Amino acid sequence: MNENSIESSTKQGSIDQQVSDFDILQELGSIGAGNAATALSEILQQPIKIELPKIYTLPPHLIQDYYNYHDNPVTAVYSQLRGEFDCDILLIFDRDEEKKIAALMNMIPPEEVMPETAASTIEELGNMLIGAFWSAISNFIGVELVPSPPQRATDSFDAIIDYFLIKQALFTSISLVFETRFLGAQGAGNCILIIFLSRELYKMLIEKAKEWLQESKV
Amino acid sequence: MRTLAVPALVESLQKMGCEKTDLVAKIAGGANMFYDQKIHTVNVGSRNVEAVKKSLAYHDIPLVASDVGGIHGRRVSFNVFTGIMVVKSFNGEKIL
Repeated sequence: MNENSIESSTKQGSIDQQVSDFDILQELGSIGAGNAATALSEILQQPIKIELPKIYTLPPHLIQDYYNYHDNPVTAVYSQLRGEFDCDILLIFDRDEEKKIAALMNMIPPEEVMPETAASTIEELGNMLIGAFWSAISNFIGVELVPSPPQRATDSFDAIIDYFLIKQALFTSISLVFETRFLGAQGAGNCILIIFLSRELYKMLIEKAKEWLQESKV
Repeated sequence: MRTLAVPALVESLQKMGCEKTDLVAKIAGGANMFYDQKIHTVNVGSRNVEAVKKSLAYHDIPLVASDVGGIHGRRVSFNVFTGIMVVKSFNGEKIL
């Protein structure tokens, strides 16, 4: 795969089969983001909107060059699936965006956000968003999933991605990338949600989701 | 299944004409980025470090420098002419 393959994977509308696969990913994203936004709005007693302006499928080893963040410090929240399927969900927050989101969630100005507040807010937010995506995947494939509790780490962007590349060297995987934007009364903040999954699970997700969507339309 | 790299590495070096008694080792890595004591996850990083140390000891290869453990990933560059190893991580750079 080279850079052209990124380009082609982001322009999935050109091939019929890929259009429908891409529609599934959009649906998965809108269910996950929608459920998380509802939960967040209830907890915070203020309307929170979660948008997914860009969705990609990328080979995991191309993520670092695609984003070009390399040594920039980021905070990551991650949860993995236990059992028969290989799947990890990772949320990555740039330091500035982390502050903006923590400010938005705590309804305070970004300059008043203390590192401990930012860390605990991001962890809670990660729990909610990752949990909502696990539920969406679980509904699509019709299997109850048992994910690990989300864990947080701070490191450079490349080091975080390296961790997953090493893990996934054991199986051929694909990554679904959802660029995510949180919007509230206090402002907005961005993060990247990445789902690493085996090609078998990806295939199953697409097939089952098509059935699920057809059934829900009937 | 054999899962240790050290014996394979030693064997390759010997095939290339290296004397085992001339070998020394520098190691880096073994971080546990997402380690969470609250939920008692297995510390794979420290297990890897112990396994490598045991294997080096088994082969009588002296460990002359190391930068291991912690919670941050590392990037290593090794100068094959000088034997100097540069370890970069979130906390900065170390020369071993």
